[in-house]
Amino acid sequence: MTASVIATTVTTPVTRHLSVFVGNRDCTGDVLWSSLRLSDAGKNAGSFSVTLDQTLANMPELHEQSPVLVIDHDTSPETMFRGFVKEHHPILTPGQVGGWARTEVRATDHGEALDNYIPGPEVRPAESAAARIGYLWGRYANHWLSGDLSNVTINVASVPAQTFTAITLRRALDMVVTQAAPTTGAWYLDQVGRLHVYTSETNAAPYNIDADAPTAGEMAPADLDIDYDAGIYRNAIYVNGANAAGSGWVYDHAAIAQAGGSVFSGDPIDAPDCDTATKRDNLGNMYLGRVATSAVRGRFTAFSPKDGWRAGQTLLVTSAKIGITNYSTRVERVETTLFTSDASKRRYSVDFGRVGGQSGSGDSGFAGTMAGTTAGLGTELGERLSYGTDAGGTPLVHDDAVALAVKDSAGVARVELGKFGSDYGLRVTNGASVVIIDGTSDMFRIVASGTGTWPTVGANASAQNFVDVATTLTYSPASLGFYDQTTAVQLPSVDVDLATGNVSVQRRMDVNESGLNSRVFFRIDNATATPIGSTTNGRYYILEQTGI
Amino acid sequence: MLGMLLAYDAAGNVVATLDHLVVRDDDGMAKGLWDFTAHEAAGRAHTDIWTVSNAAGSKVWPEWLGASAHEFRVELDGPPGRKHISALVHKVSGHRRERAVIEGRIAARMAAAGDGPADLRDIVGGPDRPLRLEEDGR
Repeated sequence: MTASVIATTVTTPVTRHLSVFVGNRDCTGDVLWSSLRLSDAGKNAGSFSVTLDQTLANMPELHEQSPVLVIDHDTSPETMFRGFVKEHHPILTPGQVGGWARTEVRATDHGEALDNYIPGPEVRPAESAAARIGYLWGRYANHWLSGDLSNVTINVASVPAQTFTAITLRRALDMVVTQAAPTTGAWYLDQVGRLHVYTSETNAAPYNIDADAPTAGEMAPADLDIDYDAGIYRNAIYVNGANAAGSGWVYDHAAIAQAGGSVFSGDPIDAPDCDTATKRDNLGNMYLGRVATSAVRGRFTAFSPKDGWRAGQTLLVTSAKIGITNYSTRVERVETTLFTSDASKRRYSVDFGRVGGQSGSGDSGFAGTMAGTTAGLGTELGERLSYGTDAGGTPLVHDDAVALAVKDSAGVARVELGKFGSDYGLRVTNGASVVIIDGTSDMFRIVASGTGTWPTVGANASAQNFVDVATTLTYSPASLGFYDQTTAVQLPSVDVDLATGNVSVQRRMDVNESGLNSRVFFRIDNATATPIGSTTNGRYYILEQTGI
Repeated sequence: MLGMLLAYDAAGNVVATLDHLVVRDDDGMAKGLWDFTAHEAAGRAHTDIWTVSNAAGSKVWPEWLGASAHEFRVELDGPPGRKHISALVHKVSGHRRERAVIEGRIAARMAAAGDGPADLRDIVGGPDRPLRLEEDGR
């Protein structure tokens, strides 16, 4: 039998570099790769955004809190992002039949599971740091957080007894690490949801940085940017503990000596879990260890097929021009974008060192009454809120678009402070009205208001009363006036004889300058042969233009 | 305690009112409202605040009545030089608005509030929200 020649079509298999799942739906084929953005931020909030070339109606799996998973097939581990949909909306697409042919999706990462609430009281006796973390994790970490605690390597045999009440799991971790290893302890959540708690951990980044002469295993990014941040400098701090024993001053004497003997302390730390001198000193030393010296931080961009930069990775940074050699630091945030249509290459924007004071251990470990996360305050308009004052007592400057919002019981923001559009201001919303004070417009202020009386007047005569008000205005101000005739409120009036067109009676209200007074005239002109024997009263408003 | 000013003629008829007046500092910046009650209690002259061409006198009243104040005449009480308005009498119905009663209600409301703020708006109204009275002045 002669073998048949079977015509075949050879199909070159498509290499999948990234896979994107929303709900249980594989959206990879719908992803517009140029729109994809992911940020991995360790213990801080990571994010995801993408535009899908698919109508919202065709994606029933997409709803608020749908799980989002991004797999990077070119790296190990493959998981690149895990999170939950926070926002999705259709996009009007010009030229497309039907119009709303695309969908934008935004998500935050699994770190929100760290904000699970611990009502407490959870009273923990003196025990090892690992045991305490294991207890809290086992009890309050939900299934989105990995049960693999092999990266909890902090080796502290005994941490003082602590009580955890009305806080989040995130805050509890800060508290444990602060007491276990105040100056060397740190923790973060990796991209697969595993907790890392350490005093020393090597999690090597794809490359070390040498800005001048990179060799094997190093790279020299073109846009390396480094700064020394001494924005928050303290060499002494007062700890407000739970009792007298847990309260008091903690000093960094070496830093004080370096500052020529000057003490810079700033606002105290509220620490309701500090009930012993040891805890007080641990917390104070942890705080001063971060703010008594300048923090080195920086940013660079790496272009590569598949390096797999991630938050938490360790690297060494060298720059002869700056004067640092093998400076050991850690990646705090990575934003990944793609710039090829097949997702085979990546662009990584890497932040290392401290990112806005939010990295390291216990960035809120010294503020026992504050939320231990950027999501606790001031993110109502999507940005971080920092707090405190500098050594001179001047409030610290916040990021642009930072806001503080006060919400009502329905979750509606009623008072917002921050940036609206291009201007900064205050926005108050009550019922159907919104008042915005943004410094871009003037308004009239009512300097004074009251009533006066038009006098009686004889036939073919005029008469006036006046009220002098000590407004101190040195000019004739703007004003409004109304008069009340038989309970009807009207503007000052002119009565016209319609047969002749002649004015018969005119009631005027004028406001003129009179020294440092504003004089309100109530003048009546009677052009009729009939006296006007009854009085009428009117209301005046004296106005002043003012900026707001 | 803020209040409004009533100017009255020789017969006691209310001829003008002043609900509020902004006070300025030496640089001309507005810093608040003039406390008419404190000004009068300190024995200072109302001519520091205003002058009304057709009035014989001026005193403080604890309620804000708006233009309805013109429906009343004032009754004064007290020693010469230290008189105050003890009541407003409606010119048509004769209804009396007694100052002692109003101030008693204010005191009771403030005592009930303790150290916290007391909402007096239903008792006295406000500079921009006068009490709404009935036709007989009640």
